[in-house]
Amino acid sequence: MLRFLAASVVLAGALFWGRTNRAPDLITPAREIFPEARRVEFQQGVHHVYGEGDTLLGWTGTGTADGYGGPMLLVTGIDTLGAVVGVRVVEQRETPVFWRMVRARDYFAGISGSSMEKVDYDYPNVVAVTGATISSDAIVESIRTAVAEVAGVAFDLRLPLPPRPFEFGLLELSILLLFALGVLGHRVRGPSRRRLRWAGQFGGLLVLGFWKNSPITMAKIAAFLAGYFPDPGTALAIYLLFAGFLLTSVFYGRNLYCLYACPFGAAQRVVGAIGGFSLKVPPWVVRFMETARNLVVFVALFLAFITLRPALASYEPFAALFALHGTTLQWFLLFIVLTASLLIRTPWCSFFCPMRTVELVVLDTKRWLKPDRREEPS
Amino acid sequence: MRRITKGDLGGLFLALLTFGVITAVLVQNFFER
Repeated sequence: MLRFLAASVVLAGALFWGRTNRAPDLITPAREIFPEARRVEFQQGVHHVYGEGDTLLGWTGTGTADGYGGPMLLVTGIDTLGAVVGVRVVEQRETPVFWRMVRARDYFAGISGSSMEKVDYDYPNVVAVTGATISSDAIVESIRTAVAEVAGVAFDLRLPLPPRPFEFGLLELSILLLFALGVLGHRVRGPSRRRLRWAGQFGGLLVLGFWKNSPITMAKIAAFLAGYFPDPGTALAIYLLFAGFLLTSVFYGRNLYCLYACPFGAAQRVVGAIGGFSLKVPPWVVRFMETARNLVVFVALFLAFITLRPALASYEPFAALFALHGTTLQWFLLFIVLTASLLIRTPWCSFFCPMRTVELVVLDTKRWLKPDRREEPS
Repeated sequence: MRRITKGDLGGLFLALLTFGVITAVLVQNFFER
């Protein structure tokens, strides 16, 4: 408990450090978008950009939206004819892999030159990067907000902002069903429980894995802990996953997410079933790995907080498997874990997964708040 | 105390290798942001 408190204090300090001294620079992006700019002036909520001889070149507006790892801030430039000139990213908290794709695909090139009325969610040039819909949507929403801001001030034009949708679809329904299966499985014994668990895990593998690639990740935990709560209307799934994880941890003493829903756990079990045998890991190795894993989680959170970039905390190889996106290192990690799954039962879950640390923290906190009398020495 | 087997050493090697790669992933995330 003492170690947990010490770690919490250090992490809170890192978060405080990350959150102070953070006034975004909005002048430099304006000068980058309008290279001939001589003077940039902030009036009525937008930046007015002037060139040689104090001629007005255009305006830049700022837009913000919730991305994968927290809010992103984009600056969008509009010229005096009402066309989008360029987009600059001021703050983003997405995964490095996503950002690498954005750069590689020249993401913002297509939007330049388009009329400000036409920047839409289904704008054809802004192609959503597969497996990163939240990040892509956030970019488009940020641009639209900025454009609407400039349109209102400079052109006296009210551009309708897209209504914030409330999405309850197959993904959300599947999550509820997976937890329902888990609760059912927890109440029965023997072969029925085994069958329910396989059913849940196959469902999780297909829906949370290959179809939607939306398992609980370190990035999402770090985002919540850093105080970035995504819009529940569009990110309901993650709220459901967290709620299910926490409630079942508290009520059943074992979270049912890991047992019934986690797609990566399921992938390892499938590989393990192919391997067919499991090595026993000696207890001293288990203890060593637990300490090492908790330390990794601590370092990951520390990095995320001090930079205020929750997505940096994600070290899981999930996206490599489920969305086929990853760095060489993530592919290598995936390879090691899946190979080890042939010999050791679900090695990622047992030794490396940050969710195990989160679960232990939840269970320890519960025990600390409400000590179980049976465990007290008589 | 029981003797340390080849299996133990193999497991430990795998564990250290994995933790090494995880650390490298975090370091790469940090520098690529």
